[in-house]
Amino acid sequence: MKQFITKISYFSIVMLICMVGMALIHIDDEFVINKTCNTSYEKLAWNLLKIKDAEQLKNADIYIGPSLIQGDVNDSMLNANGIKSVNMGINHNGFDLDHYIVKRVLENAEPGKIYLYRPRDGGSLSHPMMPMLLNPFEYYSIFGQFPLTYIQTYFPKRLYFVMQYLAGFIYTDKQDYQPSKYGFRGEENSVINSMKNDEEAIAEEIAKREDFKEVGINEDGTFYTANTRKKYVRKYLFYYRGAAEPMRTVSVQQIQSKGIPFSEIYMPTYYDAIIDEHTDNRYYFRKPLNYKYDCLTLNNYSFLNDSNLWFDHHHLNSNGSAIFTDSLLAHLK
Amino acid sequence: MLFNSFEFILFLPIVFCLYWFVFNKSLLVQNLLILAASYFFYGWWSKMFLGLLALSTLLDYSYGFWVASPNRKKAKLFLWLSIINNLGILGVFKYYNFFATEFQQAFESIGIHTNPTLLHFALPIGISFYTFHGMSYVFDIYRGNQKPISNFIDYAVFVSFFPLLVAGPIERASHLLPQVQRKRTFRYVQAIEGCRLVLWGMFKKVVIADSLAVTVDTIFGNYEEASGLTLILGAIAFSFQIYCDFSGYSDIALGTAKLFGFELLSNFKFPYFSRDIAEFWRRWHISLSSWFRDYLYIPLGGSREGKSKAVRNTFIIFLVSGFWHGASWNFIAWGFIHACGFLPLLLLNRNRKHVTHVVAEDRKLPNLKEVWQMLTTFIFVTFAWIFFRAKDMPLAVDYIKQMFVSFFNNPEQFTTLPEGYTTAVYIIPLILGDWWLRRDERKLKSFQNKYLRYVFYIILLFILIYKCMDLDKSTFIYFQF
Repeated sequence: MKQFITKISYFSIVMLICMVGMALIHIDDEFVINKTCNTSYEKLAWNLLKIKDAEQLKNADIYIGPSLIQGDVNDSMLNANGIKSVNMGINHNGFDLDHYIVKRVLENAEPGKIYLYRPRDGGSLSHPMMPMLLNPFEYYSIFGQFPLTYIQTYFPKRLYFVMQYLAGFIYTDKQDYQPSKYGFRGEENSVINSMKNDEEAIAEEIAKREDFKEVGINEDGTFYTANTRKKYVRKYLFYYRGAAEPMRTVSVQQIQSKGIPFSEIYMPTYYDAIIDEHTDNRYYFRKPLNYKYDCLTLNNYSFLNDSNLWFDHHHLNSNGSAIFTDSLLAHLK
Repeated sequence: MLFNSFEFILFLPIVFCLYWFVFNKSLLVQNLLILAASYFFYGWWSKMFLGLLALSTLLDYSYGFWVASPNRKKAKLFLWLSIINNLGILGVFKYYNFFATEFQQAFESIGIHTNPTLLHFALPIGISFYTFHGMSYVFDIYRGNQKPISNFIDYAVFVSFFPLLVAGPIERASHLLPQVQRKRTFRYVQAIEGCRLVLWGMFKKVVIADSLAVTVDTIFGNYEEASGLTLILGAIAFSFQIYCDFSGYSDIALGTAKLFGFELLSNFKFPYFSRDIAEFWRRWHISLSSWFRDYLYIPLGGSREGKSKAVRNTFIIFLVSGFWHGASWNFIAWGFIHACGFLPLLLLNRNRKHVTHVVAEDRKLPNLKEVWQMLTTFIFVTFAWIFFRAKDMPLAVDYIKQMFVSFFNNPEQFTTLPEGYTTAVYIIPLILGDWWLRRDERKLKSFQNKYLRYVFYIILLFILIYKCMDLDKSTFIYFQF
């Protein structure tokens, strides 16, 4: 038994050293751009290309966050109205990715203001693309922690991406990527003009709109839908220890150290839109402990209370984004 | 839980350490640990069906005593009760909907309209395996080959030992129970062999089988538009996918059992090096084919009562084997095809030709005759796999039709075959590796040089990590049985 344990231990140590050594290999931007362009994480490629061009970010309002930023803040509209803006939202949540983008922007450019997305119920720790962007040493030195699922998902994924990166020197299949001018990625509803004769798509859209009708508010102020009874707290302030908040603190400190103005921004969901217009519901989200940031929220979102403005319960569609951005414009001006 | 999952990577060392370091003083406690670990392992999938496993175990344990009665009539009665019980459980969960639908269609064809109630719950994983464990125990007691054991814990470990619980090998009481009942001692060589088998099994499943699955799914999903050569490739790819998937699982099961001091029955002996169908069935899913031989073929008379009965019994075995794999006509067709392939060998008394020795046993390479024999057997088996893979009979028939029609009407297919490269990359090293190991599937040889060995294992592990992240984590094919 002793011989077996010794052998397994030695082998495990050697394997661990190899794995850690491989995980520390830096992956350059070109690989990340090539890997993510023309995929559902295309915004990451777009962001990295944008960061290389400091002039485009200079004095601009930068919006950073998940798909709610990506799909709801129409930066082309803001630019057309004289507010230089860049939408750097990337689908899926992760305060660590938010910080990565902040860090890269601040290293290369001088933005006018940075807006970071404030989630309703607490920040998500880790974005799925982070294993490609930071090695374990970098991750820990920036955030002072690892996500709970680090060993299970992040670390093997890091090895996966590094192996792809190393193999990339042998297999070069660079993709032809044509980045768009603006960062906004508005969601279309299921039925668009070219699909109006598609009965299945129409039926699917009708079913979705019916689902919107099932959203309501309980007497105690919580929301419900026909399928789930989620307890979204509407009015009350709850102070809590979000696990991801230290990551947000790191981002804010870095922004403030550069003297860049900063604010968080709350993006509405359909649950906020059904609240009546007479109610001042500025506090839509659960506040973390010792919360002291500015947060841009509108007094009320009832102007979005129309299911045809929404792609799903959380994301506005292109029409809804235009109306929301219009309100945002009024607020910013 | 899946063998190729993070949970299992945590589960195995914890159970290993508890087994050998904490609970090794008492055999009873060690077996209790194995039992608890096995139920935890099974319950990770579905707590709902833990009760069914426990019930099946308890019933067969009880039948074991009644079937041992000196009163043969009573013993026979309880034997039949056990069979009805076990097949009843299997029948309800696995075959009820099939028969209900078939009867409905049959009645519809004669103008009688029925609306049978169909059952809508998942098939309990491993049900086909643990019911057969229990049945073999009861059969062996009835025949006098096994005494009923009084220790329920020992019996429960025999039925639900976690490495083999969900996809075999189907163990025999005479082989596994004695190992459960005696103290296990840790043996270094056995444990190292176990680790090698686990690694190789994972590699076959995660790297080869799951990679080929992508090609197979694409080809079978779009077979109407594919060329004949592509469809042939799809069938070949599936042959290796199911082999690597199932033998990979068996290797992991055998390897894991070795870590706990158990030796399980071998389930695969490089079946694609078989020289005829009879040899194939002595090398493929050995535990199932030997189960049917011992508990169905021989009780029916085997080949002792003349050629016609032998033919009848052979067809019964293969049809039942097909049906065991799935409640669908295409599985029955698969069994029928194999029966047809076996029949000439049986009639010409050539079905026991290659029993004792492996192909090219004393040579490095096979001769031309052996190559021809292996090739023709492989082609036959691959043809039958089309029925196994297709989701129903019409698709299987269409696939074969398209294969022949397109092969002869599509000359440009020979110039481009994108899936061929992917398939070859996985299959050729596997064939070479299996050929090198063909003399003993239980003792994987490795490099003599220690450092070369370690480098090889590290490379395999990195490839495994890569593939685990690259592919969706698919379950093992045989879990559906």
